[in-house]
This record gives sequence, structure tokens and C-alpha cells, in this order.
Amino acid sequence: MLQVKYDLCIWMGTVTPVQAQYRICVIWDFIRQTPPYVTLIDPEIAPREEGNWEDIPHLWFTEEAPQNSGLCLFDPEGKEWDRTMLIADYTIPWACEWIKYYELWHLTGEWLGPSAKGPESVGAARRQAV
Amino acid sequence: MSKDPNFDDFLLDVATSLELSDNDRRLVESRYRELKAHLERPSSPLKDYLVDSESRIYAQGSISIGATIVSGDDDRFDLDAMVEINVPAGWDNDRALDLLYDALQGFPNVREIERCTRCIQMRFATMHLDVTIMDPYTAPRNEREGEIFHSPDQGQGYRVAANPFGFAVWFRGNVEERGDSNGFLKNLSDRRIANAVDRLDIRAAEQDDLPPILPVRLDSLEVVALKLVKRYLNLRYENRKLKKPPSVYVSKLAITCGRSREGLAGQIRALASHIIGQMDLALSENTGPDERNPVFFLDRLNDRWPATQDDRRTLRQDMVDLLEAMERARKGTIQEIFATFGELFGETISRKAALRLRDREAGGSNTSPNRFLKETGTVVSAATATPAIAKVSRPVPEHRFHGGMIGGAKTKGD
Repeated sequence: MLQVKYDLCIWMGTVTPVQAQYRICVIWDFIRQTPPYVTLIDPEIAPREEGNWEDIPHLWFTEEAPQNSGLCLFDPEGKEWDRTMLIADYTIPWACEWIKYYELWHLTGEWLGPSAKGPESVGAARRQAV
Repeated sequence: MSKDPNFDDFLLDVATSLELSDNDRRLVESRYRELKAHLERPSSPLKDYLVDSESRIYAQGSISIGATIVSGDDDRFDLDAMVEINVPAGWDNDRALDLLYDALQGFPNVREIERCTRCIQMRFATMHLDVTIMDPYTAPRNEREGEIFHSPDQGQGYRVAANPFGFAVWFRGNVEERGDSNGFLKNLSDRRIANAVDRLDIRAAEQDDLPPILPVRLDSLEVVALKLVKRYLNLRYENRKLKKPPSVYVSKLAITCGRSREGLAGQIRALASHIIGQMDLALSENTGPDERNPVFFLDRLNDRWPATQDDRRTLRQDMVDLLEAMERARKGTIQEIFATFGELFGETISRKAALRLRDREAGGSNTSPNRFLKETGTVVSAATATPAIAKVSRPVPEHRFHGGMIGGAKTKGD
């Protein structure tokens, strides 16, 4: 489903990255052409059992509503994304890959996907800073 | 093409965690050689009956069709051997097994020897070897046809027509004729190399270059599905008083259910559905099934099972439960899938399989080792993608997930 509201282009759809289905939302500000913002709608992201929201790896973490946090899909310093890249060819495959590694993280407690340097989660960053 | 490439991949991790490694197979081979040497030794009461130009001792049962799996959580394998001797006319139906029992005494490294109704079971630290004795039909006969002995503690003994060797030839022939299924065999072989677990002590094995006793490995969708269903049934019947359906019966159905076009999970569904069909028919008629050896009609594969409608109902329900659990798992997250595998195939095996998945994923490069199927949004590991998957997918563009501390991430300190 594609909607255009104000200066935002919003796409919602269902993907099956591994076996479970997810409904995801991609929001793109086509005026400012900022990177697409991807969230999981159903099921929403969730921490590991007895874990904390802030420890979910690779998120644009939103403290007030962590379930709405966006997925951090590329390294901005690595020049992996630019505005000419089609959402269908880059953002969606990356989001699906994120979900695969997110499921593996739930299984193992480790992020097994490709990671840029630095802490993997806001929680890890906060612990490092202490 | 597999309907569920990732699910099949996880099932393959479970299946390769259940089987004999190549090293284990070498040790098993040496046990069979020891059996021959032991039964032919000068003081063996059977030695005079075993002298022949060809070997009359051979592997039978699951090892002969490539379907041997570990038993329970104790990493034990159950193996079978057949010993052919021309039983003299004057022997009663107990004597052959009695003599075999005597002849097996003193077998190297054996911990316990038990005389069972149709075989002698030798128990070793990590394997059980059931040795059955066969009186071959006189020539002309079809290869390896004969009679084994049913010799209970109480009651009259009798002979049972059998040709397990012929069954294995039939089974292997069917599997080989069907060939590969969309690169399944390469994936299985790669996974076996990655996942092999040596459970047996290879140092105890003979290292000489003798002709093989064990048939070469047999790999196919049918065999792997059979291993998984057998494992499931072993666990289901572990604490039941009811008798388990014979492995050879399930093995025949693993072939007659046909080849699924929907990969490994599809093959398990095909086998489970086939069994349900058989049980429905038998329940409605309150008799059967009466499954015969396809190469020897007198050989009734399930001659002692089922005894009651309860036996039939129980197996049917097990298969219904298996199908439901597989369907539930198929739609689940990876964590949910492995939790279901724990219920179906055992916690230990499921944990091992999950660890192997973890190791495989952790071993990838720091770029994107995945392929993407645009139609469904499915991500498949490039290392395990079959040619059919590779054809309809494309690599995920290289990238690295970021750490979440870039501008815009809201931390408590912001």
C-alpha cells in the first residue's frame, strides 16, 4: 500500500524474510530526500526475554516509544546509500536482512550480520560511556 | 524449488546433527569386521557353518539404507547385522539363536549381551548391534532370501520369511533412480562436512585398507525426511508402553509416499500424510496395514505391529501432531522454529543445530552474504542457496548495519 501525505511517501507491505511474516512501513521524505525510515508494524520489534529495549541492535532508537524505532540499515560514513538508490532495490532487501539478523539475535544473543564499527545498540553505547 | 528454503535449511542442520559422521562410519565398519572375525574364530560354535567363499555376515537395517540416526540424547547408534548359516534339519527354532548367543560371548569391548526374541543384542558404550541369524533358502533363490527365527522366552518358536538385503536393494534403487532434487545433495554434503560430529572413538577403528562392508552412504530427500520422522517417532514412543511401528515399515512408506516437489519440509509432509492415509484405512477396516517387502512377498515388514486399534490411532495422531507442529514452525521466527524442533527432535539436537546455524552465520564475511527474493522479501544465505533459488534471487547489496549512535539516535544523554 502506497500513500503520499504532505511531503512524505509511505509504503506498507508484508515480507517474509525468513519464515515468519512481517508487516513493515517505509517512510520517505521525498522533499528533503533523507534516508527512508523503516519500522516493523506487525509484529513490532521486541527485546529479548528479560532484556532491554535499548539493547536491540542497529536501531534509530526512540526512547519514548521504542517499538516505533527505525532500523539502522547502512553506515552513513561508508557512503553505502545515496538518494538515487531505489527503495525496492536497496532499502527493502536491507530491511529484510535486518529482520533475519534480528531473529538470529533473538535466538543467540549475538548480532551476526555485517556491522559498522562502534557499539551495536544504544544500550551498549551507554554502557561504554559510563 | 523448495517452498521454504530457510526452513529446509534449518531442518538440514537437525538432520546432519543426528547422523553418523564419516569417522563414525569407519568405526562401525570395524565393528562389522570384528563380528565376522569373532564368529569365525576357531572356538566359535558357529564357525563350521560360516565357512564360505562369500561373506555371510552383512549389514542390514537402517545402516543399509543410509537412515541410521542417534538414539535419545545419549549419542547412541542402533545397528543391525545379519549372519547367514545353513541351519541343520534337526535344530529346533531356538537353537540357532542360542548358539549365536554363545558365539558372541567375549566380543571385544562389549558391555552386555542380551538374547532377544529375534536377535542377539550387543551393547557397546556408544552403539547397540543387533545380530540376527538367517537360514538361507536353498538355491535357486533370490539373493539373500531366507528365514529368521522368532524365539520367545515363553511359547513356541517359529520361522519368519525375510529378505532385508533385498529390501535395501529395492530402497536404494528407488532413491538412486529419482536422483537429486534441485541441488539438495550438494547442500547436504556441504552441511555434513560443516556439521559432522564424531561420536565414536575413531582410534579404536581399524585403519587398514579392506574392502568395505557397509554400503556407501545413501542421500536423498526421502532418506533425510525418513531420518527426521524416525527421530520424532523414537522420542514420541520413548515413554510409552505401546510398541513403536517397525522402522522398516516406515522406511518403505518413505519411498512409496513419492517425491515431494516442495523440498525437505514437503517430503516430511508427504511421508506423514501417507502414514495418516494408511492408518485411516487400517482403522476403518480394523485390520492391517500389511506391508510386504517389495522384492519378497512372504516378508511381512510389520508382522508384529499394529496389535490394536490403539496402535493405529496413536501413530495417526503422532503424524497429525507432526504436521501441525511443522506448519506452526514454518510460519514462526527462527527462535520459534528451533523451540518447535526441540519438541519434535529433542532439546539437545535442536540446541546443536541452532549452534551450527550460529557458527555458519558468524563465519560469513563482514559484507552481505545473502541473496534476496523480491517476490516474498525472503533472504537466503548465499552459501546454501540452491541453483533454483540462485536463479530467481539476487545478492543483497553490500552494506553494514550501523551502531545506532549516529545523529538522530536519542540517548539519555541527548
